[in-house]
Amino acid sequence: MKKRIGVYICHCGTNISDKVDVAAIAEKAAAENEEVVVARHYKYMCSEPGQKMIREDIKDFNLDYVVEASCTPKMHEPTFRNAVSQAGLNPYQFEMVNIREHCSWVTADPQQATEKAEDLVRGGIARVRYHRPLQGSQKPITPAALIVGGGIAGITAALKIAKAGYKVTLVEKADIIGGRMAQFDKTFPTLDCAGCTLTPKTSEVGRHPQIEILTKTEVIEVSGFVGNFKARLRQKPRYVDLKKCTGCADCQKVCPVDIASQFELGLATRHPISRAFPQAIPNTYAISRLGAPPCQSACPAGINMAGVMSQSGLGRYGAALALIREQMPFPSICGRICPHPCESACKRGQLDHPLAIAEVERFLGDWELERGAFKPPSAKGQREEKIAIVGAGPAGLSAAYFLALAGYPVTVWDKHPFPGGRLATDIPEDRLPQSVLTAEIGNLEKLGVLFKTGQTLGQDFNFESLEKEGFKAVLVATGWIPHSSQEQIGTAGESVSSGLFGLKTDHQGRIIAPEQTMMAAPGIFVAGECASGPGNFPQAVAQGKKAAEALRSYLEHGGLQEVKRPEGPMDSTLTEEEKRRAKPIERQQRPDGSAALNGGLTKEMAKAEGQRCLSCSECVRCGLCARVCGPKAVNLDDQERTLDLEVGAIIVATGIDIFEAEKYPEYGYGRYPDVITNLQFERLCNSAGPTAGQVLRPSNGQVPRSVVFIQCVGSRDRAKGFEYCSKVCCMISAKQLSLFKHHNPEGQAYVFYIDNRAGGKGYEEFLRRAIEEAQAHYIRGRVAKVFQEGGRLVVRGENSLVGGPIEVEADLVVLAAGLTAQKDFRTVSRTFNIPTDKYGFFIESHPKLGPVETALSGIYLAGAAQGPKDIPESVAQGGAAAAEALALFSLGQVEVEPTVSSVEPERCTGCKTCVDLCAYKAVTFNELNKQAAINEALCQGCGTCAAACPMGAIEVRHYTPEQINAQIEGILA
Amino acid sequence: MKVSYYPGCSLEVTARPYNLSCQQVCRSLGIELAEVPEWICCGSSAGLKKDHLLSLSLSAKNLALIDQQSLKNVLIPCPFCYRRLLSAREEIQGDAQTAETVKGIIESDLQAKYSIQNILEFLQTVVGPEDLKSKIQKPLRGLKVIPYYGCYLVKPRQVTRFDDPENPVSMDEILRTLGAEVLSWDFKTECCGASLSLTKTEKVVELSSRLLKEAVWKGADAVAVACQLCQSNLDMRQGEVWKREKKNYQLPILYITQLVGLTLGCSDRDLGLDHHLIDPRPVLKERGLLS
Repeated sequence: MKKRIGVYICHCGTNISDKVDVAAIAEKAAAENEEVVVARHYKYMCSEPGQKMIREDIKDFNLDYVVEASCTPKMHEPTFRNAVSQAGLNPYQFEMVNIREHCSWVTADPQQATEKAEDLVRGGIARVRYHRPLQGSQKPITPAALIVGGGIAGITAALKIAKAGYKVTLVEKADIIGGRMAQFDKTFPTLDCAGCTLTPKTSEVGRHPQIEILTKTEVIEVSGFVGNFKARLRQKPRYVDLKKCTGCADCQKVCPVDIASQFELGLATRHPISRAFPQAIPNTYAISRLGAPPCQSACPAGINMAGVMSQSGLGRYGAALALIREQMPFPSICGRICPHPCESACKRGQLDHPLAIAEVERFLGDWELERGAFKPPSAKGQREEKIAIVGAGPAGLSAAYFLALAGYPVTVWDKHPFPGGRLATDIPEDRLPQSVLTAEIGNLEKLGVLFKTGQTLGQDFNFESLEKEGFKAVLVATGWIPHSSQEQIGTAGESVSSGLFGLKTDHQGRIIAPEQTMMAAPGIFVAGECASGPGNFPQAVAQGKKAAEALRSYLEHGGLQEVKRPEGPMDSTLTEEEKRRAKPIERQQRPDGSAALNGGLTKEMAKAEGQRCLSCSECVRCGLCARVCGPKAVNLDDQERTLDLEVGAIIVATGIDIFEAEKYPEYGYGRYPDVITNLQFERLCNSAGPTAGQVLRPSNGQVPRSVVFIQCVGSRDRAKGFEYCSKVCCMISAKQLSLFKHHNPEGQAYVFYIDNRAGGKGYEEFLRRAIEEAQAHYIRGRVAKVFQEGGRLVVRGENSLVGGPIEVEADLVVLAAGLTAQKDFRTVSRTFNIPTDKYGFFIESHPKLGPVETALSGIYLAGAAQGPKDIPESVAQGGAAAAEALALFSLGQVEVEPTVSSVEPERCTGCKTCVDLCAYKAVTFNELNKQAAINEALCQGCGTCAAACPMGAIEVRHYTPEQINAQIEGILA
Repeated sequence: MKVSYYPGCSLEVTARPYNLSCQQVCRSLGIELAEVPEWICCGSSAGLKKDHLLSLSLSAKNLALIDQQSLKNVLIPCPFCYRRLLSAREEIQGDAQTAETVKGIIESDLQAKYSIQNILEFLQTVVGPEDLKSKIQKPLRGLKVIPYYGCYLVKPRQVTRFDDPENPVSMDEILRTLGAEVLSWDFKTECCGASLSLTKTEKVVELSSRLLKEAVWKGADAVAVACQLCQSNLDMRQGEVWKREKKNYQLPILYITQLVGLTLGCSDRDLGLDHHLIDPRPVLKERGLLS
């Protein structure tokens, strides 16, 4: 059946018509092809008159198809599809031919351009015949938003969406929201206080019932499609209860650790329990802990050695002992005989010598024994169930200690006339004096543990007799007896052919019991070498503690146990920051070299040794803050948690970092304390900052007389691989020198610049004031070097307008470091599938017309993560991204384009080639019918699966082989 | 071990102490120096800049002569000869046409696979700090020395590929091995005026005065150099510097090889210590460093 086709050629002003003879093409199209019933050309087809032309022609000429030749479809295909559908024609019965970007703009010769355009139009006409009417589909939307990043852009977006009545989850990696703006002092050009403009917003976000703030949280996985996203979040433990902390700062007085403050950019220290500034939201403290320190991870008993050493370093020996006893009851014994894997792992060992942890532990135990200072901790309630422990070696004794602490009446049997097991029989007196062993075991007796020595299991008593005596559970910790010398003793004393005490053993003679329950038979538990084979002291003690827990869970919960994940280890590589924290104290040793064989460390030596600790995990869990916290807000057992979220729209507003100025070694950053970055200068100006708002030289705390600003550090520099302009640094320096002049009217500011970029509202005027009122010397030229001469800092640069070098003496040098992508941009890019440019900034869908959209429907960008920008632009983008989300929510449904892949079921052989090829995870394999299935909402219509399918079973609608072949033939005709 | 040795024109005459002390040090370290037979000018003088091909060919001739020695290393103490021969080799090996032309001019083939090293690189990599330390008889015992590399030796990075062009440390490390107290300063690679000594003396005095003033401010007993132009500018022109500054100092300027030689027990005469305008011997004697 003959079709009726309308053809329209656009002049595009003169963009097309200056090269292509548009009138001729229109004529030719009509003449060559009788199906073309109307062919026109017009100056601006995309304008209203142009579109009206198409709409009216569709009606008047009863058109079946429309072909329009003009610019790239990326610009106006939606415009024309819309025009066509308004006239009642299916929008997919339209074909757009690109004769601008593909023709007039890239062809020099008009003759050639016209010929090419003719061919392209012919191709379009040939193709459009094969177009079918297509319908998109509707999918419902979850009316909730996920905003990643709590800076000013994220905050703005959150408030706008929440105010429209929708739920918002605001996720922030740091402890607090506010982003970079929270670090600033004043903002240009009004010199408004940054805090005064920011905190009302953050406060509003904190109060808003529709907004949930999740700090210390990152998004680890995203799946789904527009309107239907599933996000998995990981929240690191805060260790402080948000609802209970009143911000009273009592914890600040007692925390023994000082670490460099990242918020203050290294200009000040803070405690691991800290709050960035008093007005921060959330307005509570948070504890920074990097994981279990290497000493704790290496210890089989998991003793918090970092906490122990930190307390010893303060002279708080009782507190240190309490920390040891949380995991292991015998410090004097342990310090003498343990092989101390903690010392091998100690990070200080990477610097000079590891801490003498075993020596300090021994000192602590001995100190307590000397003073008789052991105070049995009050048992947590009294329990009735009697527990029998067979074997008074370290495993049995340790189990006895922890069970007694839990309130159980414990009796310990041993076949020797004295308790201690191998501790008593196998270790020479000079390594472990009998007096020490007796004293530490004596501590157990103070807890109420009963000892029955000189009694052997199987001979003097057995499991039946214990049961008759009312013991509810038995722990066998009889130590290592090799299989060959095991007496095969049965439960009633008779000789048996295999096993030990009637319990099954393996071929090595170890009693068999599951690792988790440690129960070898009902009510009979095993711990220590008799179950795990030969081991060492800390392993035995750890097993004893574990057995106590297993026993308790058996008696209290019928064997069910909460699986407590041990704390994950921290990175074991020594960092620069840790090196700086190291106090210059030598490892303590007695003059004759050995402390072990004689009296051990002295009190002063133990204290000094404790002070050598690097606090590498930051918080050392000493527990001091928890103790002094009135509202009991500190929870040191807090754990990481995972949350799953369902949202309809995601806004990525992860912000920026600043350029690492060490990359310009000639500027002396990191070598001279008086060379700082612009962000650090901002902290000096901020009243909550390290100098209480006074601009002072970091080297000597004096007021600087001259300040030299060096622009474009890490921007506009091809040699460093950072070619872009960071947009805001010219204004930042003008602002900062104005602030400097306010602080110090006698001072002089210099700025070495390339250009002065002041494009915003009021920016140029502000810059002028910096030059005229603050009387800053602006020198056009790059800086070659910052060096010290005669002890003073000198900046040498070029004065290009004069044509020669210039040297300026500076009290303070401020490097205008450029804005860079955050260090983890690759992770974020992969999680959300948003591509980045070579600098790590996320790519928007169109640089001019789509700054907050991405190639992915439903995922939007806002703020400097998309590219360097100032605060008003970030706010504007926050609002724009919110509008995108709100548009989605108010529609309630999302239209999914039909130009996606589809599988022809008869042809699919289930080879799964397509499944892994899809970059958008749109292809899944249906195990039931063994065929590929395409999620139309996720599919972007790229055609990879269609091209790869060996059976040709996949077709991309609107890009069928039929259509494309027709187009090619039309072009070549 | 045997190493090729290219002194260059300057070390032959005006910078004899550098030549002497370098050879003396190698002798004491058990290294045999084989001077390149019939060597000619390297081609880095100012006049020859006008004719690049001539400069290149002069260098090429020397490179070919070193080839004939069949040795693995050539030590070139003069920074200008060192860089000239390095650059020439790179240029010739980088372009087949140039190589053809030059080989035609010098009438010989050119392999130049040996390692071309300056004195600092030589002491650090061929000799090595452990070996040097083991042979030291009289350490410098806390003599406060300023390491001055000069502008030419460690730049540009792509040519010399040795040490850091902004903040080099090789001389610092050698001096520390010798037992000196190495002072840190920011003028390690600032120019002393180089060959402007005769044509623009005032500039040399101006630049050298800045260096010397900073060295004195830092409390130096001596300045160590690895370049004969630096040595002559800071030493010969020192009188004029202090006259200009209206001060009265005597800061000895010593070759790194002279300091190494002292620690190895060589005599002051063998090291050419009597050839300096600012006599270093009083300071050295005072520190008990002279035999």
